[in-house]
Amino acid sequence: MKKKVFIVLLVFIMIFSSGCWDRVEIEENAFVFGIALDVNKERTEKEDIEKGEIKPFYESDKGAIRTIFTVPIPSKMKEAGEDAFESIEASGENIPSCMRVIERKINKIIYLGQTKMCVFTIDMLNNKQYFMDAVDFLERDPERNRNMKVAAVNGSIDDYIKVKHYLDNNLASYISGIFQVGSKECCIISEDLTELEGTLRSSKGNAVMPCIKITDGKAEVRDLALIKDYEFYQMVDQKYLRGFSIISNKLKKARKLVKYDDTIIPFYITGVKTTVHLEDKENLKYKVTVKVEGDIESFILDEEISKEGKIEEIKSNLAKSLTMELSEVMDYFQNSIGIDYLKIGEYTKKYHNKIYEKYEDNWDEAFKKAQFDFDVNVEIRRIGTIR
Amino acid sequence: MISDNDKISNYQLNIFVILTIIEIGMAALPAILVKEVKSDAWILSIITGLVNIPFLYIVSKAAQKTSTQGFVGCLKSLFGKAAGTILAIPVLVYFLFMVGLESRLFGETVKMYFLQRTPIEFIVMPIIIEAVFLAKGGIEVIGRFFEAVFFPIVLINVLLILIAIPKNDFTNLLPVFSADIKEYFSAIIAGSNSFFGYELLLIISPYIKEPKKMFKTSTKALLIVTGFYTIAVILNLGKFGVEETKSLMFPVIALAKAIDVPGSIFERAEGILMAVWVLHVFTTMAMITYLYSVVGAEIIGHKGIKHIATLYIPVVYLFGLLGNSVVQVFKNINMVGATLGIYTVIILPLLILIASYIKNKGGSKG
Repeated sequence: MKKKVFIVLLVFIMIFSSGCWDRVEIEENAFVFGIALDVNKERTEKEDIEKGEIKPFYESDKGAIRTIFTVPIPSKMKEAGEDAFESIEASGENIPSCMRVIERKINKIIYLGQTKMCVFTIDMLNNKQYFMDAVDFLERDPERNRNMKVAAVNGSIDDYIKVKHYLDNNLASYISGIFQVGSKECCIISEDLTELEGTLRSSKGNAVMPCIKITDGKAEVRDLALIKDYEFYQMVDQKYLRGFSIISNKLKKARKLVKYDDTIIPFYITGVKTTVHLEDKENLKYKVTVKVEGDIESFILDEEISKEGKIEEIKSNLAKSLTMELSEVMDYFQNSIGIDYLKIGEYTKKYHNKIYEKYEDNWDEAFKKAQFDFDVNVEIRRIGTIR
Repeated sequence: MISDNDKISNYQLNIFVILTIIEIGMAALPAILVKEVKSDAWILSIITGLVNIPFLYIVSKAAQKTSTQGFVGCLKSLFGKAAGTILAIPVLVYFLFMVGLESRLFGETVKMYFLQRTPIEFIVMPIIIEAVFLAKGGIEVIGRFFEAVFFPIVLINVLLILIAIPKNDFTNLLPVFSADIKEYFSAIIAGSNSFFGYELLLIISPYIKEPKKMFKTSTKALLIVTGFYTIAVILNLGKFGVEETKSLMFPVIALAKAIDVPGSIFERAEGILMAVWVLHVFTTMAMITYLYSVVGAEIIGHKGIKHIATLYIPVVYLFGLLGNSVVQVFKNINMVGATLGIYTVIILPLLILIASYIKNKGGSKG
């Protein structure tokens, strides 16, 4: 009996004396769907602090970076429309200070656990310190969603938030949806925060980021932003992305056009497996074997594709075309870019560590001089419902 | 006298060892190993487990000596009353530290990931009180509780492992054997802390039904734990790679947060992980609370353990609050493991074995 009284008393004391510190009503949270980060060009004053010098530091409302948070309004969610989302802007020295500025303006707590998309403008990527600060915050914050998609924006964030979002009532879910569907269907490179952080750390500040190009208020995911030493380095044209995805084993599905007689035939790639093999260890000569499978999407109306030799010819044309494409991509990355974004170094480190250690200090130079042979094998699995 | 109900079967002993060893420190283990030996961390996890088997052998042999008179009783009969008591005190302090630091680390992770605004004292205190509450029930009650939670724990862990497997790049486990011998040694020392816990045999040996099978049963348990830890390290390396894993404070929780199950069935898997984590922490804490209560009671010659378990709550709480930051807490854990841990797991069992050998030899001569 005494024990029961003690337990009841203990429970009452715990409930009534302490309360619940973490009680947050769902309406009190501002669930950020998208974050857009830019450099604040209006900033005029600049804090001059020498490295290591300690001064009183006062936060300015005209901070170094501009952020726009896209937040849904729960009461309007049922209406489904643009009105159901609010874009809240703030500037501050870094993301946390922008959040504090916003929390002074709204009656909600900023919550990043449901964030789907984070975009960086090229200006932001051009500033090493701001970019590193932002990535560090996103990585350190235990609440934030590690699977949020990341992308670069070729334009300002003002243009970005005004972008027309087709078939979706919210910009962040529209863009993240493009990445989600596009990465499975049409050779869009999709990168989430975990992947970006991992690549930045393992490649000592080098990484790739898909890019959103804005023209006439419309967004298109195309090109690839290269980051070198935590700074924007160069933009890779869309035409190299399929080859890049194939070599770096990122391609899931894509389309490839192939010439057959006078007709251009669409081939839908449904699976790719790339294996790299170091053939000549002395001269760094690699053999890249690519196995592609897919379906023929259309052919010539009055011709029978299943007739002997035709499929073989298309396969051979596809293999030749892909070999040329991959060689061009490799040549572009070796000679025009000059940095190993194709993760050949990573392969060498994993499978031939002793060789990698020889070139570790200057791997990019070794990558530039390396030789690559491509062996492409194409299988046509389906030809549709017509023979 | 020990009643027959209070006897521990081999199956229960297996569960005791598994649930006592697996504790909150496992959340940080992949980072600790990867920091030392990079992609060899998964091999090191296996090696560390295997390296602990000889120590487990020493502990179980020493535990056979303590099975008749109890731990402190055995020390007193081997080394004399005063020396035996002095030798037992560091073990008591070690267990008190273990419970305190375990509760603190649990509090830190819960505060970091779930209850940011709740004062850590209110996270730490209830779990200490609950552990004491269970420990006061004695070894039989602990045994029944462990048996009851073991199956759900295994089930949830298997589920988490299965949903964490997709989208992993297992080539991150390469290259193998790329680290120096020196790095292997420091990794074994750093990682061994996470494998400690089998020293419970020294204290609970009087209750074990078949003391002769103690080593065999505990080795099985240790191998299961090794396998579990190795899977955790492999999944972390597969998901994050070397550089990212070593930069994370609690990679296992980060892994649960990064799990992306198609169809959004488990969008926030860290909730499931934390649910099972509470059980892991609680079982470890309850068992060690029981251990310090037994040692504490035997030192002062008290018959029951209930009062001792309650009496030490403030000490456990204070030990847990030592260290201003989570970085300092990790340093404290390493320090306690490297000093009191090694004393309890290696030095003292060896002393018991040597002393009993000399005594037996002397006895047979005389």
